[in-house]
Formats: sequence, C-alpha cells, structure tokens
Amino acid sequence: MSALPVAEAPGHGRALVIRNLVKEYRKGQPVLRDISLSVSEPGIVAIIGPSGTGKSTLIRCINRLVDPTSGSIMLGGTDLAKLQGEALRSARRRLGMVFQEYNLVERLTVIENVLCGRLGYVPVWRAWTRRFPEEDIARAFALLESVGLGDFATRRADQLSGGQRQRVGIARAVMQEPDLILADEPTSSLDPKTSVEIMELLAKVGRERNIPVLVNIHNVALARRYALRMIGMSKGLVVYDGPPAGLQDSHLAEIYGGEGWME
Amino acid sequence: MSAPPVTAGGGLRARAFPPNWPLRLGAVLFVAYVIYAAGIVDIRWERFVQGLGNGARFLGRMFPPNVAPDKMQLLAQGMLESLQIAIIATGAGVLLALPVGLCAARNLMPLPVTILARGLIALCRTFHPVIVAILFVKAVGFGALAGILALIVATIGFIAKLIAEAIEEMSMKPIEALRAAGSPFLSVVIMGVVPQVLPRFIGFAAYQLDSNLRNSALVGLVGGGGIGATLFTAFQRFDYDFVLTIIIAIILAVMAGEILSAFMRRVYQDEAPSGEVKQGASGPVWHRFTAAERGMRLAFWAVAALALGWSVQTIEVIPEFLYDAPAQTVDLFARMWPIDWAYFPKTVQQALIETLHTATLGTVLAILMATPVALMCARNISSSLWVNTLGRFILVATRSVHTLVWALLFVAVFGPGALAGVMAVAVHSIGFTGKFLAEAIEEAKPGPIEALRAAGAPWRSVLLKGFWPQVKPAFLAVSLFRWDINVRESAVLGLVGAGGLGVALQAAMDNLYWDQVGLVLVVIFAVVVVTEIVTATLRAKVI
Ligand SMILES: Nc1ncnc2c1ncn2[C@@H]1O[C@H](COP(=O)(O)OP(=O)(O)OP(=O)(O)O)[C@@H](O)[C@H]1O
Ligand SMILES: [Mg+2]
Repeated sequence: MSALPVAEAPGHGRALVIRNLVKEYRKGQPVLRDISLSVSEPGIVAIIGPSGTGKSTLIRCINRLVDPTSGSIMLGGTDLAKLQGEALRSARRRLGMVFQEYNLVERLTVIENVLCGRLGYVPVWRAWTRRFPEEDIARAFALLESVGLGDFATRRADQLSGGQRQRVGIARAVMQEPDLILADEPTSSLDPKTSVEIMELLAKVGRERNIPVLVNIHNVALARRYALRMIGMSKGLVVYDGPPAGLQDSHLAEIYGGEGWME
Repeated sequence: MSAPPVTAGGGLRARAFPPNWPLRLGAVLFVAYVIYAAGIVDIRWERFVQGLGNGARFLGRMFPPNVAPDKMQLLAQGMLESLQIAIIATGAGVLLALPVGLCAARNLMPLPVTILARGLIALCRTFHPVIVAILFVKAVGFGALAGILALIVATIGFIAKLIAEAIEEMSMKPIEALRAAGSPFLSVVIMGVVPQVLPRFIGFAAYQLDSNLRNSALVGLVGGGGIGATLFTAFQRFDYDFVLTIIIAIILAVMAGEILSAFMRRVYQDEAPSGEVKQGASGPVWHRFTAAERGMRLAFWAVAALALGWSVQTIEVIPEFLYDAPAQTVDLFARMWPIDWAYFPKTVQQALIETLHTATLGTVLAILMATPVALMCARNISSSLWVNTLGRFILVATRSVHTLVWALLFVAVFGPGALAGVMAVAVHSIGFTGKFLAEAIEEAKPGPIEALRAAGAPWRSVLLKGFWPQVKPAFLAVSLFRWDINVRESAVLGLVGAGGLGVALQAAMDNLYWDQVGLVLVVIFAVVVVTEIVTATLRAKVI
C-alpha cells in the first residue's frame, strides 16, 4: 500500500483533555462516573472494558453524539462539552469517527461515501450537485488507493465486503482531516485476519497523520499488539491507564472481574 | 497497487461521478413536459394570484361554519343516510363477493370460470365509484339506491380479489382430504375453504366499511344520495358556511371510521388466529379461537347483523325501483351500442390529453407539497411533538376530503377547468404521498445519518446524502403508485367541472347521446388499463 497523503501535519500539540466527565442517561444512575484523562500522543490508544461499562458512551460524548451530564472535554483550547449548533458542527469536522457497523450510505458509491467526510466543509449546493472541490476529489481517490480500494471507487457501497466497507469508513474519517480519530469497536464485525488488517490501517493513519486514534476494542490481544497505550475501564471508571506492557493479569481481573475466563 | 491519480482538471470529477446521460435526458424531457403541460392546462401566475384572492373571499364566506338547527338536521339526515348506504353496500357487497372470489380462485376452479370471474373483478375495479354511481342514477333514478348499487360494485371488486388471493394462499391439505373422502363440491367449500378464509374476512369487511363510508359521501355528488347530496345542494345554493360544516363533519366521520376500522382489524387480526388447545373429556381439543376471541367474534356478527337490519329497515328506497334495476341497467348499456367512434377526435381526444396532464401535474405538485409535510411528520427528523402533530393533521385533513370535493372547492376558487382539477388532485394526494414518505423516512437506517452528523455535516447535507439515498426507492414507488390512482381520479373530475374526460362524459349524458357515453367509458377503461401496465413496468425498472 502506498503512503497516506499528508496534507499538512495537524494534530500534534492539540491535546484532548477530559476532566471529571460524568454521563447519566437516567438521573442518579451514572454510566460514566468521573472520567479524567488526556491524550496527545499520536497512534492507537485502546480502551478496553466489559460490555456495558460505558466505552461507547465515552467515545460518543467526545464528539457529542451523546451529551455529557457534567465535566469538560477540551480539544485545542475549546470545551467540546459546551458547544452548540454551528460551533459544534465545526468542531465535529476535526473528529473523525469509525463505526462497528461501518455506517456507510449503502446506495451511494464508494467515492461519494469517502467524500461525505467533506460534508462539514463544502456548501450544501456543492454536495447536492456533486461539485466537490477538485482537490477533495483527488484526495478521495488517493485515500482509496492507499486503503487498497482504488478499483472500487465507482462501485456502490453495498457491494463491498465488511472489511472493504470498514476501509471506506476509515477513508471517510481521514477525509475530514481530523485532529483525532474515534473508533467504536471497528473490528467487532470482522474476521480475525481482517481485524488485524484494519488495526494495522488505523495504526498507520495515526502514525502518518500524527494524530491520536482512540479505539474501543474487546480483543485484548489485538489491542496490546497495536496500542501504544491502553485504558482499562470498569463500571464507569478508568482503572488502568498505561503502556500495554504494564497491563498485568491482575489488572485484567479487575477490569473484567473474576479470573475464570483467563483459562 | 497503481499510483494515485495525479490528473487535475475536469477529468477527475467525471471519473468520480460518471455522468448518466439517459437519466439527464429523461429529467430534462420530464421538466420540459411539465412546463408544456402547465401551459396547456393554463396554470399561470396571474390566474393563481387571482385564485388566491377568490379563495380568500371564499374562505371568508365559509367562516364561521353554519350550525343553525335546520342545517344541523339536514346534516344529521345526510350523515345517517350515508351511514346506511355504507352499511348496506358493505353487507350486500361482501355477500356477493364471496361467490365471485371463490370462482376466481385458480386452485379451486377450472380455468374458464376463473377467467370470467377475474374479468368481472377487473371491470368492477376499473371504474371509479362515481362513474358507476352516475350510471346507476341514470338507470334507477336519484337517491340512495343508486349510491348503494355503485358501492356494491366497488365492494365486489375489492373484496372478491382479496378473497380469491386468500383462497389461493390457503392450505390445500384439508381440501384434498375432503375430496379424497368423496365429499361433494359444496361440502368441500363449506368444510374446507370457508373456515380457512373466514378469519380474514372480518378484517376485509372492516376495511371496506371504512372505504365505503368515505365513498358514500362521494356518490351523493352525482345524485347517489347521502351526505354527498346535501353537500352538492349546499354548493349549488352558495351556502358556503354550511359547506364548511358538512366538510368538517365528513372529516370527523372519516377519522372516526378509520380509528374504528383500525381497532377492528387489530382485535380481529387479519392473519389466521393461533387458537388454543384445551383438555376436553376425551383428550385435548383444539379450538380455533380462544374463549375471548370467540366472544368478540360473536359480538361482531351480532352487531353487524343488527346494523344491517336497521339500515335496510330505515333507508328510504322505493322497492319498485330496485326490482326494475336489472332491466333498466341492461337497457342503459343497450343504448350505448354501437359506440359513436366519431365523437373521439371531436372532443374525447382533447379531454383524454387533459386528463393525463391533470394527473401528472397534480402528482408532481402533490410531491412538492407532501415532501415538507413528510419531513414534519418523521420523528427521526422533527423531534418537536407540535411539528409532528401539525404534519399529521395536514395529512389526515387533506386525505379525508375526497378529490372530487376538493375539486368543487377549487372550481369555486379558480373557475371551471383543469387548473381546479390539478389543484384538487394535488391537495388530496398530499395525505397519501406524505404518509408513505414519512414512513419511508422513519425507516431509514440511523447509522449512516449518525456518521454524517459526526462528520459535522449541516442538516441539509445530512438530508441530501444520508436520508435521500435511503428514501429514494420508496419515493419513486409512491409517486408512481399515486400517479396511477390520480389518472383514475382525474377522469371523473370533469363531472364537477374540473376538466378532462369527465366533462365529455357529462356533456354526452346531458345530451342523452348514449353512444357517446359508451365511447367515453371505453376510453376511460383503456386509459386505466394502460396506466396500470405502464406503472407496473416502470416500477419493475426503478426498484
Ligand atoms: N441511549 C441510551 N439510553 C439509555 N441508556 C443507555 C444508552 N446508551 C447506553 N446506555 C446504557 O449505558 C451503559 C453503557 O453503555 P455503552 O454502550 O457505553 O457500553 P459499552 O462499554 O460500549 O458496551 P459494549 O462493549 O457492549 O459496546 C449500558 O448500561 C447501557 O444500557
Ligand atoms: Mg459499545
């Protein structure tokens, strides 16, 4: 695969700093209970934790698909938790998101799905008439090439396999020129080999674009292999935050509870 | 892997989005046609503005609705008669539909019989109830009887088809068992077929009662009795405040009918019931229905019988006319033969083209107006309960007032002609089109929408790139389906002066040129059949 095109090297220095984040879907029942963490280093940061512990909630609070109850989410000097309307929209452009179910618009072509990453930047009439700026189209083609889907540009997205769709999903996120990529279980619907390829791709994106990639993931082994840092969550709290090498069985027992499942 | 493309210039966009020339050409042609047709139908801005002025004056004369005691009594009489018409037509129509549907079932009957039965069903379905009503008015005179007969025809067309389909879907095992045991045909039907089809029957009947209730307001416009007659008289006397009262009453009645019909279909589910197994004296016994279900069903039949008995007892119909009806009807058709083909180039051709223009323009306009209403209704787009409710109210209100009644109103506003017809078709279609569009929007997958929102797309871009591609197939299907219906509707609008084939029909009837009436009927039949074929072909293409 050829190198990802680097437009400019954004990212570095734009740290994500979360302080005292609390989220209650129902009053008095916090799902996230006082999360504080900061991420500034490029590369994969893996978030692990049992089902229902609030990993998705955390990620979705960051780009405000979910509204936090209290706390602050600072990115490059703005508090994302306080943004509304137009300001929120502009901020979201700098946060790429990759989904477990890919969330492509199935009846659009692959290239148009990638260009959807520019919808926050281009005026509506351009999106409508498909008159995306020339350099956007060139970059979309280059991105598709770099994720190995150069020949699929004009195919409809619903003709792709799961792994191919996720590559398009990643290309769409990168198309936003994000300062940070959020990925919610990007490999959970994929087979083991494809999962490795997708993690490889996410790691490469983080490296080459010099941005952090926050990944929710259930596969601890895969997380260890690609993450530069691991965050363990349990019952709405961060219980481990450090390098993969430092993650001991005792930590895993604390995160997931019990030890029987570790053989 | 090949190198990234470095070419700049127009080539790259064309590579990303190769132009679809046939589609573009089709779109250009369609827009050109719409403009041309709008010119033919004489949709001009001045006329529209003038119409708005008239409309304001007209609305002023409608408010406040007239609730004087004598008017309320007229209203009550009309509504009561409509209800009686609907009940009798449903009862008699369903009874007659049973044998017809049986004969049309291909798994039970020999081919020639099914062809005959299916031909009869198609004939009943093709002609708009208003046309059937107008013919019966000529045959048996003004009044409820003509309305009842017209709605019986519509009921047979609808119910017999459903029954035939239900029979064709049923299990053949009990039938084969009965046949193998050497039962005579009638026993096979009574023991094998009826029990399997009857559970779905109540659902059909409930639906048809609802539909007949709406249409009973309609047949009166052409002399078939009921509230439609009251409405038409009020129009002719320029009692516009009473017109408003009647329209409000019709909307309320239609809404009540819809709720009742939905309730009945839920209680007496369309699908075969689950039944239950009980421990009887000699082992387990399977009951087709649970005790509660049996009670409900019994209650249904009792209420239905009572309502029918009451309606037949109290409706004002001169029985002699009924005995006379078959002879009169046959005589009517005899007078249409031979058909006056010479009438076609003179008048009918022009009227036919106008009808098609009316249907198409009306549908286009309806879609334009229904789209924003559908967006208001879709809960995944508008989260405000107020906006949802307002949208739903618009859908129900436009749908409850029939195209023909809208046509009466718009003729008063814009004057006679196809413009009134286009507006009537468009406004009435908002309800239907908007309802289906809103449903399609609500069914759109939330994932892609969320992805676009997460990318910071403005809401209009989310609509355009997230919702539209998902809704498009349903949108095209609904538009086509509605166009098909609107061709039928447009063919009768002329009866109240809103242009098209109905005008030619009315003129021929006023002059008692029955051979010309025959010609118009043949043309309407042909148009409806061709439209159905065209939409079926197009639908297969777009979906
Ligand atoms: N929209 C919502 N409304 C109410 N409760 C919610 C909502 N979304 C999530 N929850 C609840 O919040 C808790 C955390 O859910 P979340 O999806 O964040 O967990 P997760 O760690 O991502 O789990 P998984 O690993 O299964 O994806 C769960 O108990 C869930 O039921
Ligand atoms: Mg999750």
